[in-house]
Amino acid sequence: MLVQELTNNEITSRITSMTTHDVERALQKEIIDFFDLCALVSPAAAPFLELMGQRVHAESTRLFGKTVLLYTPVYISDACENGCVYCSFNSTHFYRRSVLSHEAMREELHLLHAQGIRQVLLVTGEAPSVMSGLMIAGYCGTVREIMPSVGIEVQPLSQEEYRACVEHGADHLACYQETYDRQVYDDVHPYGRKRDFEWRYDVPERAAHAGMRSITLGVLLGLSEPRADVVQCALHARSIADRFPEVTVGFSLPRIRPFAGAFVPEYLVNDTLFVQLVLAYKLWMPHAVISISTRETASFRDALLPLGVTKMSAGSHTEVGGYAHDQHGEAQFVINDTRSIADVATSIAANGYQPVFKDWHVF
Amino acid sequence: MDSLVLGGKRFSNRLFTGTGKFASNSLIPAILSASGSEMITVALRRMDFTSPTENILAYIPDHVTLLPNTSGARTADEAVRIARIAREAGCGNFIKIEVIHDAKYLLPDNYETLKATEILANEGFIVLPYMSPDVMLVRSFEDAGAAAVMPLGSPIGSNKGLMTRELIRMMIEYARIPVIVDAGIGKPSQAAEAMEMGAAAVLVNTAIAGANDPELMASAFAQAVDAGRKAFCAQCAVPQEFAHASSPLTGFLRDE
Repeated sequence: MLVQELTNNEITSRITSMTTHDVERALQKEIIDFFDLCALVSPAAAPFLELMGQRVHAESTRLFGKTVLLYTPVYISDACENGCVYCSFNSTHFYRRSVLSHEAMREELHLLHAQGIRQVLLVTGEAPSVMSGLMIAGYCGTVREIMPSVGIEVQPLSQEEYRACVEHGADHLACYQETYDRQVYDDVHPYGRKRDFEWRYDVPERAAHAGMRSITLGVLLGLSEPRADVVQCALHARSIADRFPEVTVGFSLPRIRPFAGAFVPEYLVNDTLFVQLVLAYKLWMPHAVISISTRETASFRDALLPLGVTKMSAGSHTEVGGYAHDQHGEAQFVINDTRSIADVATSIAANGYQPVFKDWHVF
Repeated sequence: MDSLVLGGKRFSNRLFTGTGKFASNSLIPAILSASGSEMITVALRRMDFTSPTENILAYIPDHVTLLPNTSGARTADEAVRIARIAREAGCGNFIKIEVIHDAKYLLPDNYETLKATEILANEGFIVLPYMSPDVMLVRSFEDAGAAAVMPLGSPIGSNKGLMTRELIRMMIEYARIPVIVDAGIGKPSQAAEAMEMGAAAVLVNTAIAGANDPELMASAFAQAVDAGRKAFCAQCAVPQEFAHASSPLTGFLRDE
């Protein structure tokens, strides 16, 4: 059966029909298909978590070794014209928005470089009149003066703008669909450019066409029924990987955390479900990178190390100018792992893994 | 002495090793000591000359030949650029060409690899191209100036051994330069098998780095490579597929 584009409700229906027999069958296969994936994210897979974990641990050790790449996000603009109900950058939240100048960003980068960081992720809200795609490309170029690797997590850009970013040295991109449930997507994005589902959905394809080497997808866990959202994201990622085999595809799993505005998520993703979803992603695409941010606590992130996590942010600040400057705006989300970069690296090593700072260089 | 000569250097140990995937760079000297390996490969993109504590090169003893690789290159041009930078950075003349634009199985692009081989060989590099076993391309790599060819046994990190054994065997038959099996060797017995077939050397990274005791595994691999090479040199008897009487069809003939 060809897997056509399915709605979240259709996928949920498939998931809830899965039995332990389906999970056992999935775990006996080397290559996981759509039905197997539904089984692996289903409640029926709960008793198999340890088995899934063992397999992911073995596969990830072979493919990635005992290494974890560390990077730091750098927020260069919190100006935003969208009304995303779950985000503190929401345009209805009145606080002084700011843009980091190139010179101020250089100061931040030098500080981070001194702490060992060699890869940063530039983050913005969505306000093209304040921070356009070409301006972001310029910032990428500035980062590359100091760091060997730069990525972007910004508003959806055109293919030409992504090409400009790549030409200025960007090698990876993160863009989360937030949710693949169309109704929920409309509900949580009441206005602004972000309301355009398809424009955002096509970001990975535009970026891949533009030559972006690595693309990270994800959903904001809690917005909608998470198991179906993860399956949708996995299908989206596989379609990108199949059409662009040269692109390194990855997943991140941001969970909604409290912020200014107190958005309460409809679905609770507890730690057990979170781990199940990480393992499902890894079994679906063993070569995929799994990136975990500082939304998660230190102890939880450490516990995830043997379970296929290959990339972590460290020493994060989610305000503009959070590293070198006293003037702080609003944080995009609460940081739950407040360890310094050095402490994160030490903890990773204590857990039997090598913290890697430099794993990429655009020559 | 049965040694392998590459680029004018003599290697008495036919186990080459890598630097990736280890839990700590401090394991690298121990691995080299346990295995006796004399050649180690390092991705240029991992080298950090701005960080004294994080530079992998600091963990590699001087007597071990450095084999920088072009991991990350997706085209011949990118591989050539990386190779030139590696040499300018003081990494020597050896270069392992890795041109991969398959993020799923990490299979190399043989044609881009061939193009890079010719360019770099002409610039005086000692070129070891990592390639998918293509028997007909062996002569092309020789003509392009490769010092050896490095066909994969199975995909990088798969530990599946010599899935491509028949093609490797044919390559060894046709090749006039060393054939070094690289990628996919997961067990010492698989390394021994490659050497028994006539491979000049093997390169092992994942199977050592991912072992519970990498140092012990490195030692095991060294012994397996040595055993396999000795077996090849001793010309082990060709196994008979069928049991047979001494001359069942021609035994009726008598000298006239």
